[in-house]
Amino acid sequence: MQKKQFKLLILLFLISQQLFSQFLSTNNGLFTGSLESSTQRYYSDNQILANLPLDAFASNNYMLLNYSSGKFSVGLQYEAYLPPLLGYSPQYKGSGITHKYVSYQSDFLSFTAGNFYEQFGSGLIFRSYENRQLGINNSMNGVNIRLKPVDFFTVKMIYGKQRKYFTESSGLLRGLDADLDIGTMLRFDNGINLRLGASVINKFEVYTGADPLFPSSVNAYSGRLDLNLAKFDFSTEYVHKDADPHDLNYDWFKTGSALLAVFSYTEKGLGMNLSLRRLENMDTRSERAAIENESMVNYLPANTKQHKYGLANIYPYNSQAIGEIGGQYTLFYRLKKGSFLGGKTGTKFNLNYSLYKSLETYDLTENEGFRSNFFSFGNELYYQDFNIEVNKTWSKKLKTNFGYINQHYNKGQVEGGSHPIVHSNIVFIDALIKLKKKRSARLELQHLSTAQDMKNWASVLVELNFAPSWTFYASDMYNYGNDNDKIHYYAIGTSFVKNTHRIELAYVRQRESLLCVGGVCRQVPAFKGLSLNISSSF
Amino acid sequence: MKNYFLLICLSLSTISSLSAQNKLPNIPIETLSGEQINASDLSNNGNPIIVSFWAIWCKPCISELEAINDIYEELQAETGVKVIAISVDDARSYAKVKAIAFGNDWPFEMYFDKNQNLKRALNVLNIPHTFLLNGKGEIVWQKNGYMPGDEDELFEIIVNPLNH
Repeated sequence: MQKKQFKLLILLFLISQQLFSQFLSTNNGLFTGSLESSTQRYYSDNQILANLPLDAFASNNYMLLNYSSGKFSVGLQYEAYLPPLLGYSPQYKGSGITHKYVSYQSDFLSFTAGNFYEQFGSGLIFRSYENRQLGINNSMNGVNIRLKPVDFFTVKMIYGKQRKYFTESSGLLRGLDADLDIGTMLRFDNGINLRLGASVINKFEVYTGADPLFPSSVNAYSGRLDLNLAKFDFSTEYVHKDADPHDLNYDWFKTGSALLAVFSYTEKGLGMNLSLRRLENMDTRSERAAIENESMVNYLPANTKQHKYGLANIYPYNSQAIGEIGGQYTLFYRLKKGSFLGGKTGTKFNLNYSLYKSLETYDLTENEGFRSNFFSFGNELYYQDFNIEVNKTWSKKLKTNFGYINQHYNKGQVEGGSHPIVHSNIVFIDALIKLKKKRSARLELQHLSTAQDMKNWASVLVELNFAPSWTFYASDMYNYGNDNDKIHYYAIGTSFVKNTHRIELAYVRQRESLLCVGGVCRQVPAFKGLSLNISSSF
Repeated sequence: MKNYFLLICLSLSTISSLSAQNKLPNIPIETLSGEQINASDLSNNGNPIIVSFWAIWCKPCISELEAINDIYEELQAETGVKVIAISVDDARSYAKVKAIAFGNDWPFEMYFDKNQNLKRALNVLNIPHTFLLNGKGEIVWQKNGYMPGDEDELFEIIVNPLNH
């Protein structure tokens, strides 16, 4: 480029920048956005069966821009998968604007045209959301209205189609949700509240086949109740779905149902929670031919503890929408400072137990699949997890977290195929050592022992933090005790953070795994390579 | 090559000159007892507010809340600051949020952002993500991630906002 031309370009750029900023400030508007980019370079590794893809590079990129002025906002999201990272569906390959919307928000009325995310109740009947880590984006394209005529009553409406990669699902979704806050309406005392809610969802996907009874239109209905009585909380939700034959439920003409009930008790230093859930034929898709995580209409996360430590996530439960029954109990308890066991600084306990089993079924029929007894447990164990964590602050310089986990994982049921139940015992210790005011080190040691599947694992992680910006880490997960190769899966990396900007570089050798976030899972193949992640918001 | 680099720098400066997310938007969030309120209505009588986005499964988030809790009394006495912790837990874990808050004896004001609408509107990509609002409710500082010692920086900024 000629020097003169370049100077002219800079001049134009500065003028436009000024004009643009002025336009935005005179309109009292806000311009915000974010950028997220993950790029990987793969290398082949025969020991972990990591095959080199045709293109050794892959990159996922997301850019979101929002502009808002007063009650109005507009925005768009651009995505580019060049090509998608290993483990993401190859159907993501390409780039384009995937999300665009215009929205008006006031206390009385909110209105969005274009793409939007929404949830009814706890999501058992309907949830559209984005999870980039899992490659899930089932945002709606259509219209979303929220009306709040009085401060205790809200009605929400959705109408549109769900996103599927760079296209849309073939079925139409429309739904209504109403929420009545009786506590606010009757001006109950503080700490006491009662809310009622109801939703209905209709999906329509034209059926052109030969079966005259096959439904093109399917309805689902739900009712819910939330009650707070100072220290006690109770909430429940029930969903009924009409017969909804599709590929993933073997085209059964069978109604579906979901029941969730949660009890909690809380007081200073103590929190308890019991959550029970039963699912029967609740996998709901806005396209009958959907597979994997495509076109999901509702959200059915595993009702179990989401573990924070690596080895505890080797065997993660994934809810069985076709039929499961069970629940989990959680306790958080703090021993007071100065008490005999609490010591100088206090000690915290967290205990959790979850159990999931098959439904008790009878009358197995070809057309309907099965029938079941509503409140009975079947004989097959799907998942059981008992875990306890003890968190102790020894001094200003040392904090530790010890734990023990006992898991029983029905690998055949969760992942498919024929496998024995995996019984595992895990112990871990996590120590945070503050070296100086802004320097700290973290050491994590974990061990998993099992006689099944891939046998034993040991893991170590060392992390050095230099607040507020630098982190260096190295980790190794060692698989041993089996007759095959003893394998080290390692990672070494660094990250730099400046306010809302973050860059991370790592070299990793990763095992094939089931990556689960919020209860939805994605299979990640084994790979070895360099990984660069950049994220920034402004 | 140099020229292109300059151009890229200028583009970035344009973007950063527009970084003006100065208040919490008018988006509904829920209290622990399920009442809906608007994020734009959060206030602290003219004193600063720390807003922390967290979730029960996020280890550094809990470490951050614990670290702030350790210095909270001192911080409140000196600056009148209030901590608002906004959980982005979804249906898998939000029922446990009240239990962990009471079990750990956290004195913070807590809300739910169950389908992450507020998180998205504030361009929060990963959690923890912490905002500092001044007495007028304007966002004056924010940070993604937590490492031990960050709470000291936050303390310094609240006490001496002009130095940052």
